[in-house]
This record gives sequence, structure tokens and C-alpha cells, in this order.
Amino acid sequence: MTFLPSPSDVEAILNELGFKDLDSFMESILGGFITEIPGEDLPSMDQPSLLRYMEDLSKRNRVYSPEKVYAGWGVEPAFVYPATKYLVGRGEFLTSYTPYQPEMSQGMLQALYEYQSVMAELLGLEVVNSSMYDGASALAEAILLAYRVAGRPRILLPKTLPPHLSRVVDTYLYGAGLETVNYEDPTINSDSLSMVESLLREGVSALVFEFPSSLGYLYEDVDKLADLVHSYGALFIVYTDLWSTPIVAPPGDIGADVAVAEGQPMGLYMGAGGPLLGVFAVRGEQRLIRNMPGRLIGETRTMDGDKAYTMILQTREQHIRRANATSNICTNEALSAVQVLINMLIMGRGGLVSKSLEMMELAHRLADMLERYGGSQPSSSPFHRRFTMVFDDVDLNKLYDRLRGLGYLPGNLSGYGLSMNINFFHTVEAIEEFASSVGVVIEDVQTG
Amino acid sequence: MFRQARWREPTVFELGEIGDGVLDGDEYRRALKYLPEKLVRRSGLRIPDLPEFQVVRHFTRLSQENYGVDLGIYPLGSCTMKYNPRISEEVAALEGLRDISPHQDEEEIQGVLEVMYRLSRILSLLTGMDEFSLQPAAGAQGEFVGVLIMKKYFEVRGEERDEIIVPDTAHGTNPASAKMGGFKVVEIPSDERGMVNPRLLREVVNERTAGLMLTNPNTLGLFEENILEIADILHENGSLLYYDGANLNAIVGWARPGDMGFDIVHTNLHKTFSTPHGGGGPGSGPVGVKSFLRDFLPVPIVVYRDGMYRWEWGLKHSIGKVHMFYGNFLVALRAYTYILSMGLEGLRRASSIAVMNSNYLFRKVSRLRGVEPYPRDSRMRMHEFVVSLESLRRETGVSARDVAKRILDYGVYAPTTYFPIIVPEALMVEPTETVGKRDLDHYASVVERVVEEAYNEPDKIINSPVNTTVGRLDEAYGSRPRTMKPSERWGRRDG
Repeated sequence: MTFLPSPSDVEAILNELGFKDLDSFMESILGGFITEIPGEDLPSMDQPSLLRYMEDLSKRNRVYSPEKVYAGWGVEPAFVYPATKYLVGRGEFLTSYTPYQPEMSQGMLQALYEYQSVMAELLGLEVVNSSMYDGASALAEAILLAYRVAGRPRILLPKTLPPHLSRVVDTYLYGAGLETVNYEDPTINSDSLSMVESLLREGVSALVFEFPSSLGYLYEDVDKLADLVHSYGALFIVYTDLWSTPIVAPPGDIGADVAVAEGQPMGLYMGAGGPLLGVFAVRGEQRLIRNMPGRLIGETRTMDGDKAYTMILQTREQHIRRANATSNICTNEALSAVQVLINMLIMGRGGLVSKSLEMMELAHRLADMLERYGGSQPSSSPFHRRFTMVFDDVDLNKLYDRLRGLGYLPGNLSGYGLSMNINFFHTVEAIEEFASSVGVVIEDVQTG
Repeated sequence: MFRQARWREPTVFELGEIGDGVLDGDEYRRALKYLPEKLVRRSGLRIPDLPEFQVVRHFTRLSQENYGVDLGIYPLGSCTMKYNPRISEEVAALEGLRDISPHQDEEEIQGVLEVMYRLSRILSLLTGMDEFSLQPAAGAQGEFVGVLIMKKYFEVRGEERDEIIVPDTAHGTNPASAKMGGFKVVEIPSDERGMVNPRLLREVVNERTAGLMLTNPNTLGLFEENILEIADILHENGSLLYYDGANLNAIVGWARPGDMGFDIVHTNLHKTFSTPHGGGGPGSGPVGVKSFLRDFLPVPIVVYRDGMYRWEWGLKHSIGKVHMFYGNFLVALRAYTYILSMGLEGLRRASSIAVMNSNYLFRKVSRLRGVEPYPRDSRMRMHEFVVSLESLRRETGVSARDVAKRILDYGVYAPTTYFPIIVPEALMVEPTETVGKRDLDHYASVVERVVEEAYNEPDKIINSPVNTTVGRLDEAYGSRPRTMKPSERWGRRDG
């Protein structure tokens, strides 16, 4: 039992406690509650055989080449720099916990402060918490925040909000007893603004807006929409794609009160969908900050006046405020935050901007090529690195399956079409190859 | 003599030149090719451009200013800071498990689904439940799921029940989760023995009671010996019993919540099953239920049918989803690896050593001057114990907080302080099974030395810590509206 103390230690302590073995010791406390658990199926494995078993198991999963993946809702292939992987694997970070003793946990605290600061730069907002579970629960908690601030039990959600987000929001709002109303996304339906206004007039706590949308589009008059929402005393919650923010107007520039996102594309492994990183930010306004969920790290000083870091505004949290806390969250995704921080710092500002530009250029190049095969988009709004397409006389499910057979994970399907996402690994050669594969399949599907 | 690294490491923003961060001419022109002018980013992106070696040095230095389980005992109560085996990290780095997209179909991820299925079966076996969902990302999210299951269950039955009972020793997450589910929280006091008292419980249980949330052993480290009667009281009333699995490490392999009458449980894989805490997360908080509640679990769950693992989405009364995809799979994978390496016998041995270590340290610490066990008796504790420093404070003016800070000076982490909230000047200690006798003897001697100092040189304690990266913090300073600074961007309103 290599993970446990030596038998002689155990014997010595048992002796001091007056017991001859662990069985009689546990019996003295638990007595009749001890149950015989059938353990034949659970023998212990030594490390070499365990590793072999796991390697075998891992071979029973299909691994796609990252440049052949165009799916991007929430989770996509992301490059993790070897230096990032090494640093987050350091035991001092990996095996620590919530820094309840800040004097001895300055390293983690400073790293999380830097995460909050770098994320604040990207989002153009001043206050970012040190992480939520994922983008979906971050969005749900943003809505709960809006309700605490504005007090009206109704929320406006875009009809295009995809299921990986909307289903989680529904669950959280079921708990809180809030009601949602769907509105047409203005990049899909240009008449939507008047509809939004009549809904706002009835009284809502927040309007959730995707910028860019999951379908990929950027609403040009987003500033007018924000003004409209604010004029009815509601909060403007923006769900964004972090890769767009280095070059596209970030939430802070378009009037967001709260911004939320999934952080995985900036440098976490896909891991079949977790762990992820919920990014949560608010404008620097006290009523928003005081109602934020989650841990917040801030600069403070020592009694001697030196600079230091600590958890701040803890009176919002469950361990102090209990039933009146702003959220029940305790354990979060701190190490994911540090991983994303380090990965982004290795890229630096220059790397982030040029990658974001490159993604946009590749996406447009791909869209152009696919349009030649009869592809059309449900929106004429600008887009960054993601867009949606349908093809004349082509069953998208069939197209999807055929492309999968060619080694592609071709995108995300919805009633609006196939949404394709350019990721970190895509190159001109990769998208040209993909486009020609699409062309071949389309011809085949149309004639066959 | 311990002395923590003290690099006075600047922030990354001070390590390199950062201009105004706005897009330069070339970048702006490239952006304008596809974006209308009003949608191009205007505000500065003040992130430094550093050579990789500088990033590596910066974070290596920061890591040295941080304490983790790899450095020594980390006895935070109810947090189960045990050793995290490296084999789990190795397995979580296998490409065939790590680089899997959640958008893949089930036939392409049979290995992933097998891990999830088998782990669910093992958790059912260990807790005495019938079905598990691995979706909750942490214990608190598991609690939220449990609370929503209660809500939906009574809704389906057409019963109006809007109260959830929690003991006053409960983790703060319990009342917070109940509140997020829309319930009214009713707190019941623990009795003088530190337990839920069946007589008091009967007084508060009524037709509006949806359930009771209970940790067993509780946060005082005591096994709730009346648990069967407690379960009866709730069940006779048609209410449900929820198990907060934060303290499962005390009983795993020996006793099962399912056998005690619990209807819903959550487990913390990052505690009991040894996955790293990562400075605050990620964790994983699977929820298990008895079969009559199976249809209420989050979807999808994994089933095995016709020789294949599959997602089952069609649970009739499912509360919905709480995670974008299927939960923190790579954490679940580490826990599964740990469980397989221990085997059932190993898990049993681990939990009994955790309890043994706790009692050994309890005996040594609770007999120190100014320190009293809470409750004030010498009953056996389980995996953790609580002492009160109320006398010490009265006699010397030194608080539990001061003692905790001074403990750090000796190169070990401090216990949880001021929790449970009913205990004045509380220290809550959970050594776990992954410390040896020498570690425990050393820790006891550190506490003893600090307590002696409290009587002889109280100033030394009040001015501690001195050997850590920074000295005692003025924590309130960072939280005041005028002096707070949550980011570098804070206060820089020029965009």
C-alpha cells in the first residue's frame, strides 16, 4: 500500500490508542454501522498493470487530429504549450487548496490575481472572479446576479442560444423560480429590436446576448441594443468568445454589465468536456461587485505595508454568509485559470492578436470556398472565426456523417445549419483540404 | 529553521514593457478587412510580450511561494488534503483520454464511457446507492443537484414543501445550496454532544419539510449515532435525507450512507478519492440516489446495453443539465485510477488510518494548556476533530487566528479556523491518512510550542507569521471600496 504510512507507524499509533488492529479500532467507533461490502470486483492493481489497462482503454477512443476538428461549441482543440503543462504540474500549485492562509499561499494568490487581470484586459472589464465551473454555469450565475440587482423574475434569452448553454441555464433558473422569454437574435432576424423593446417594457432583469453568437455572427448595432436594455433598467449580459476579444470589440467596449465565457479554448485540454473554466466579469461598479458569485482575489498590504494578495469581499461567500451568500460555489476551477493564464502569457499580447486575426482570415477564406459549393449563411452580419452554413439540396446530417468518415469532426449542427469554428491548429492547407472534402461529399450526396 | 521563498516577485505586468496595447496600424488594417470599424477593438490590450524563459521563471518563483500537500501536512478540516498520486496525472495525460472532444458520438468514446460507467458503479457500491451522475463539477454543485431533485420530486408528487433543514454545524454550502434551489433554510442547533438531536428534530419537522442535509461524520468529526432514528423521522414525514459527502473519507469501505437511510448523496472526488485540489479546483461532485429517484438525475447518465456503453437522455423527471457536457471527466478519471490502485481493501485501510491519525493527534492537541476538545469530552473522533481555544484567548489574549498564523512559521499549514461557527475560537483539524507518525508528532509539537509561546511571549504570536513569503496581512484593506484592487485594470478608466 504505497500511498499509506508504514505498518510499523500504524502499529505504534494503534498501541498508543489501545487497539490491536484497525478492525477493532473502527468497530469501537462505528459498531453496528459497519457493513460487509463485496470487494471481489475491486482488487488493487499495481502501477505497471494499471497503466497498461488505462493505455488499452485510451485506445478505445477515437482521437481526431486537431486541424480536422471544426466543432467549437464550448470546447475545441486548444494548444497547451509544453511550458504551461510543466508549470501547472508543479506540486506547489497542483496540490494546494483555496488559500485560506494567504501568508503561506502568495504564489497561488498572485497567479490568480494575474489571471483576473489578464482576463480583465481581454474582456475590457475591471473585475473578473477567480473562476466558475464552466461557461454555462457562469452564464446561469450571471442571470442570478442580475436578478439580485434588478429584482424582476424575467430574463430574455436569444432563441439561438445552443443547448450546451440553454439547458444549464434552465436548470439554474428552475431553482431560482425565474422565467425566461426567447427573443430572435438580431443577426438572424433584423426586425428583432422592436420585439425586444416590447419585451423589455414588460419588465426584465437582464437580456442575455451572445457576441459573437454561437452561429458566429456579430451584431453591428450592439451598442444600440445595450442602450435600449439599460434604458429599461435591465442588465446587459454578454456571452463572448474569448478568441474574438483581441481584435473584436470586447464586452467592455459594447456596454456589457456582466461578461461570461468559456475559457477552455485559450489553453485547456478537451478532456471529453471537462474540467473547463467559467470566466465571469463585471463592470467596476460596487453593486455589481458586491453581488458577484465566487472567489475574488485582490491586492492588499501586510501590517508592515508591503504589497500582498488575498481573497477579498469574502462576506459574499457561503462560508461566511451561508444561506444569504451570492452563490453556493466553493471549490472552483483555479488550476484551469492558472493554466489559461500561463498559456496566454506565453503567447503574449502580440501572439493573441495575430492568432485572432489569422483565425478570422482563415474563417473567411473557408466560407468563400464553401460558398462555391453552394453554401449559404443564415446571416449577412460580420463574423470572426465561426460561421454557419446550409447547402442547397444537401441533407446536413448526411454531409456530417460522410465528413466524419473522412476523419473530420465537421462542426455543430442546429436548425440554422452547420456551424464551423476555426481553432488554434488550422492552417491554410488544412482548410483547403477540408473545403475540397466538403466539395467532393456534396457532389456525391447531391448526385447520389 | 523554516523559511518560505521570498522573491518579492513583481507581477507579469511589471516584467516587460507594455504600451497602450491598442491595435497598431497593420493589425487595425487587417481587422478592418472583415470587420466594420465600429466593431474593431478600441480599448487597449495591456498584456506583456515576454520570452518564454521569463514566464517559466516567474511562475516557478510563484510556485515556490506556495505551500501544497507535496511539501507537507495540510490539515484543513473537511477538505481532506491527502497525497495525490502521480500515476493519476500520468493517466490523465494519455492522449486517448485527454484529447477527446465532447462533440464525439458515443461509439467513438467507448473508453471514456467505460470509465464513467465503472466509476459510477464503484461509487454506488461504496455509498450504497443505486445510480450516479458524474456531472456536478464540485461538491457544492452536487448539493445544488440534490436540492433540485428534492424540489422536482415533491413537485411531481404534488406536494408543497419549501423547507430544508440543516444543522448549525453544516458546511456553508448546505444552506447556500438549499437557498439556490428556492428553499427556506431551517437551522437546528446541535445538542451538547455535538449531534443532531432526534427530539429537537421532531419539533421542526413538519408537512413543509422537503428534507434534511447532513454530513456524517459531522463537521465536529463525530459520527451521528442516531442516524437511523433521524432517517425514520424524515421518512415517516415523507421527507428526504441528503448526505453531504465531504467527510466520506472517514467511513469509505466501512459504512455506507445508503445503509443509514440516506436517499441522495454527493461525493467529493477531490477529497475522498485523492484528486489534486489545484489551489481551489477543479474538483468533481458526483451525485448518487436510491432507485426511486433515478429518473430525477441530471442527463445524460451512462448505461451499458447491447454490448455497448451509451448515453441515456430519457430520464422522465430529470432536473436537466448543470454542466456544459458530462462533468469534469479528467478529474473522474484520476479518481477512478486512484480507486483501482487502492482496491477495496486499500480504501478501507486508508479511511481507518485517517480516523486513527486524527484520534492520535486529537489526544495530543486537546490536552494542551488553554486548549479544549469540542464538545468537551474524550469520545473517539473520526477523520477530523475540533478544539476550542477559548480559554487560551481568555488567559493570554491570543486568538485561534493568531495561533494559526504562528503555526505557519514552523513550516506546516494551519488547520481550518473559526469553523464550525458554533465553536468559539475553533481549530478544525483533519490530518488524513497520508501522514506518518513522525509528521503527526511534529505537528503536535508545533502546536504545543505555539501554545507555550502564547503564555510566555504573546507578542511573538500576535506579530506572526514572520517566516512566510509575506508577514501578517491587513485583509480588510483589500476589501474596502476605496482601497480594493481586484485587477490591474481597476481604476484605469481610460479604456
